[in-house]
Amino acid sequence: MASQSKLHLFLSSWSTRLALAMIVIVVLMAFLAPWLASQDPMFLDPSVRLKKPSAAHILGTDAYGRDLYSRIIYGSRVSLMVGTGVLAISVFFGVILGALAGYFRALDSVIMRIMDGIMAIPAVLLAIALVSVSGASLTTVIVAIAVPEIPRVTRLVRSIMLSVRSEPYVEAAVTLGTSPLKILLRHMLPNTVAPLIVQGTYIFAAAVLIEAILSFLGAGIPPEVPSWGNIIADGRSYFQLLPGLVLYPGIVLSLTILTINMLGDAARDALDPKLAARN
Amino acid sequence: MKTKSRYTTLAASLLVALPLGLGSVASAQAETMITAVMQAPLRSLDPVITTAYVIRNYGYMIYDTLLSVDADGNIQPQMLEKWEVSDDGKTYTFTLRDGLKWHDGGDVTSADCIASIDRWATQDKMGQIMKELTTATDRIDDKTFSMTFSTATNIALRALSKPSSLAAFIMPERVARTSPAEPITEAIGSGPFKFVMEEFKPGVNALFVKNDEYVPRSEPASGMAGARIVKVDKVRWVSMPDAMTGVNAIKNGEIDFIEQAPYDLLPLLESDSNIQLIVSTLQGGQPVMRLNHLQPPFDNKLVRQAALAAIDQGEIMQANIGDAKYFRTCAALFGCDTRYGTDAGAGDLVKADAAKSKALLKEAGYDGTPVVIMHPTDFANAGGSFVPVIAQELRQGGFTVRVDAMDWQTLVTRRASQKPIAEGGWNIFTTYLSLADISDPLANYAAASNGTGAWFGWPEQARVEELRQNFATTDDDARLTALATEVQELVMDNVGVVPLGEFAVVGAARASLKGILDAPVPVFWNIEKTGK
Amino acid sequence: MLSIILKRLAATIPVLLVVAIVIFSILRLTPGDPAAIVAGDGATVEQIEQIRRHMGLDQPIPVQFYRWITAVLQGDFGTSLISGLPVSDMVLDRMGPTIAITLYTILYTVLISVPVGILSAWRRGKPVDKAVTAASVLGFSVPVFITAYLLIFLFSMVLGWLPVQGYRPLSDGLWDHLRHLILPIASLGTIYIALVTRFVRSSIIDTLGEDYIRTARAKGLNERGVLLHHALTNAAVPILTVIGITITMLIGGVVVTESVFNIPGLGRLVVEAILAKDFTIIQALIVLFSVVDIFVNLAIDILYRIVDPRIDS
Repeated sequence: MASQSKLHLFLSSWSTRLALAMIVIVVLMAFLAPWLASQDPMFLDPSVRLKKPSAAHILGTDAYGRDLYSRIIYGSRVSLMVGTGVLAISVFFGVILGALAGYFRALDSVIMRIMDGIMAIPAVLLAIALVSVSGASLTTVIVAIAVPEIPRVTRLVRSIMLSVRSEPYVEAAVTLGTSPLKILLRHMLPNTVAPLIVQGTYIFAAAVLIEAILSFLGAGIPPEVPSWGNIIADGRSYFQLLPGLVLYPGIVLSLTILTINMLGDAARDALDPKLAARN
Repeated sequence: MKTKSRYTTLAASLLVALPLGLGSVASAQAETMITAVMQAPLRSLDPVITTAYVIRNYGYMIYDTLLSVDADGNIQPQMLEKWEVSDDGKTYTFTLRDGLKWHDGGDVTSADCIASIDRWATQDKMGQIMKELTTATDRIDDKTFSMTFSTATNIALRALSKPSSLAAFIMPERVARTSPAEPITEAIGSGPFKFVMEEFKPGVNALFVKNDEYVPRSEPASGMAGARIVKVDKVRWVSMPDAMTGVNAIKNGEIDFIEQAPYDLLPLLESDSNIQLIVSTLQGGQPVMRLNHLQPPFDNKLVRQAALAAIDQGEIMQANIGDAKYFRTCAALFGCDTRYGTDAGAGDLVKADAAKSKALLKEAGYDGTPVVIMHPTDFANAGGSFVPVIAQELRQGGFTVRVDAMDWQTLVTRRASQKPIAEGGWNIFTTYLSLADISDPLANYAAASNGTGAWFGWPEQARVEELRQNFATTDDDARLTALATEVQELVMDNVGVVPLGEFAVVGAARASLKGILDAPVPVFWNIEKTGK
Repeated sequence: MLSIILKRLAATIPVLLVVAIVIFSILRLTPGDPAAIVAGDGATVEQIEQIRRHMGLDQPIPVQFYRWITAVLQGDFGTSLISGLPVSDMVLDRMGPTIAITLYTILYTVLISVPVGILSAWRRGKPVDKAVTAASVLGFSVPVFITAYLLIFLFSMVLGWLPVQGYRPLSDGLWDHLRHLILPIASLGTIYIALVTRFVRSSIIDTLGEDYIRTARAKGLNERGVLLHHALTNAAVPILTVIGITITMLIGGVVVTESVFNIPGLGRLVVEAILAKDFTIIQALIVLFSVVDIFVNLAIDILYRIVDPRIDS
């Protein structure tokens, strides 16, 4: 009942419905890429390089004669994979570390000091350093972006743990001798679901953004693989000749991040009653 | 009345004097400075321990060389007054000319020369050969020294006049005594410019000022030889993070010179009447693909020949250079249109023959093991742009290809590894050699085929090494041409290196820069700046 | 108060140690070998070994770490592996532009986002608020380099009002200095204004809902009075938090901005160093950034206590 009304609340605004529709489009783009793209995104043809949009190449070609439109379509795959991968890793480790820190006093200071240490290092720099350690590939980029996000999730989970710890039902369970694992899973962690959904969408959006930044700086996904960040990085040298090389993927990238952030806002409004009262 | 008129006179005379005074002050202070963007930012200061071209260019600013090559390819004295050869051709006596001084005072002496040559020869490939042939180096007096060789050879002249990597710059003895394992951090030379160390920001900014004490030669400038007369007060090298920013900066007059303008952006510069394009074939390059002869599958000659057949030079060059005005296909190891360049034995190289490649692979029993190409993503000219095209061509020729992206620094480390792929090895890398480096068969280190002692890739062909030794010991033109042709044929057959074509470099300068020399290395002497 | 400060200072030490260990280990694990890079193309294996010994890279990692830490504590940040020049000199040289961009952006951000956030909160639900909310989501969703290229295109290429790239220090003249920084700050600012405005807005709204605010209203204090006096004072704390967090995040944005606009600052220095595997520079800079971050947060912590003495821990 309660969750139904939350969903209703979530979908109540037209902008949220629009954002949802856009995300669905992006996801479809990723799954249906082979059918939506006009040609193989990696196929090079130097004889048609740097051409303006035409019938054969509706958004033009890049410096290798690759079709820009097809690369943008396939680029959605990388962004979604990076977003999902980063989300999964950061939530997984963040929940475990946060639960441990929040439940076991002894582990708290150690874990939080380490988290503070990681958070003190600027995320982009840490990511670049991690990528240069292990070489550029989809996996290393995902891990590199996820690591700086873990402390944020840890903090969130920990603070919820700390506030829930003193709840009567938890104290009762402890007195009854229930195992810590059961207490965590049944009584405490469920409280993290709503905030994690909200935080998760922001992490997803941030991951897509940071991947683009890494590729832009030359420390991201290998360049043959079309990711929006890569396409922009390749196109930056030709910006004044063919601004489309930067702007088309740039617009798609920005819209994707925008819609995810909007969904995050909508989720937060729907799931947190205190916040809902604001709007 | 009197007071007033006195003041008026005073004021009037001041008014007249002031502009004159300011004028002379102004013209004394109107310094000419060329702001230039070189092909890479200057990060370190030792032109002997690295072959990076930007550091070589830096070397030419503040150091001087004993000999140099003029526009017709003849070896001319630069720091030398003269040299003499003994009757048996084995001993060379070098005499320095007058007026050579170090930037921090003191004359250049033969002891400086001997120490500098010694350090350089441990690193430079041609220098190493020269050293092997040297039996004695003697200091005769402060201005004279001699070198004696085991056989009659003019290798000293050729090695010491060689314009590019590594050029034999002469440094003060105390600096030259630094071990080659330690990078030099001082910048004291005897060249036409002085380096302003206080303003040096590695990777960002380097400032040179005219060396007023420099005594240039009297002959007119020709190629790298002749008078090195500096006609501006300062030269500043700045770095740009990307090509587009550089193009905008030169259009706006914020910078005066770009050593290598990006080919695709040339249309933006061509139409601008304030900008002149400088097409230089001499500074151009030969991109090459190097195969690892020590590891499978390229330890098999047939597989190497398949790769050669699969390559299409035209397509590769077009992807990197774009405009056919500035590149051509060329299968000569030593460069097309050079004294010793020939495309003998190169057969399939220029055009792709995928069918032949597949046939050769079949004959070789290629089992589909992926060949790993190292892809430098941050350095387009070194092959960053070639790699995707090469990968596609090899795949079309039947190879399974894996592209490993990395930055140039990592590539440089990894290519030193002779280990198998699984332990961090490699199969293919690309780079480019400047035309100045490849035209002398002895200096061309890509042709060296002495196995594990050779340049990365380690091709092994004893006959080639024999022939190359002979380059050092003859100066008969016809003989050299015959030797070069045979080396070309052998290396092509063995696929020691795969030349990918030739490109000319296009620099851009403001129209106010005059007197830019056409030489194998971009030099800043002889250039004057008239206005903005 | 003093004891609290000292306690917090002491607490930063383990954090700094963690940072140092993390960075040091990451770097030593990288496959790139700075000795080979310095040795150059024609080097033999022995020559590379020689250079490695000279750089001290042949020692076991704990030894290298110990040497480095003791040097740093004495103020010696070592020499760049690639150029051989002292790191502290390079850092001092390139500090100016980064400090300029950071300070101006923070100023620009605070000057705009605080009033706009307050306005938005005050007029909650009205068109003004909706517009601001929409604009701020857009603002932090568009990557900084996209904004930068768009601004360059419009203001430098099309209109020709502002320079495309470059940096002029203050000593070159105030106007020249500022001219070159307008576009970078505008690009960076968009993101942080968006973020901080949101945060200001929600902090004010939260505070406006508090009980004591209702009491103030009940007592007859007019809306403006309520807003200005109570809400602002209590929102100051979270706003300070955001500014603190922003400074940390700013480094990431500064790195990209310096790259697009060719500004010779610390951001670009560290990226170049990472790509060149110049360990000493990377270590020094990341420790520096982390120290700045930690102390900024400490300063904000102290400011909290000044602003709101009720805060306990």
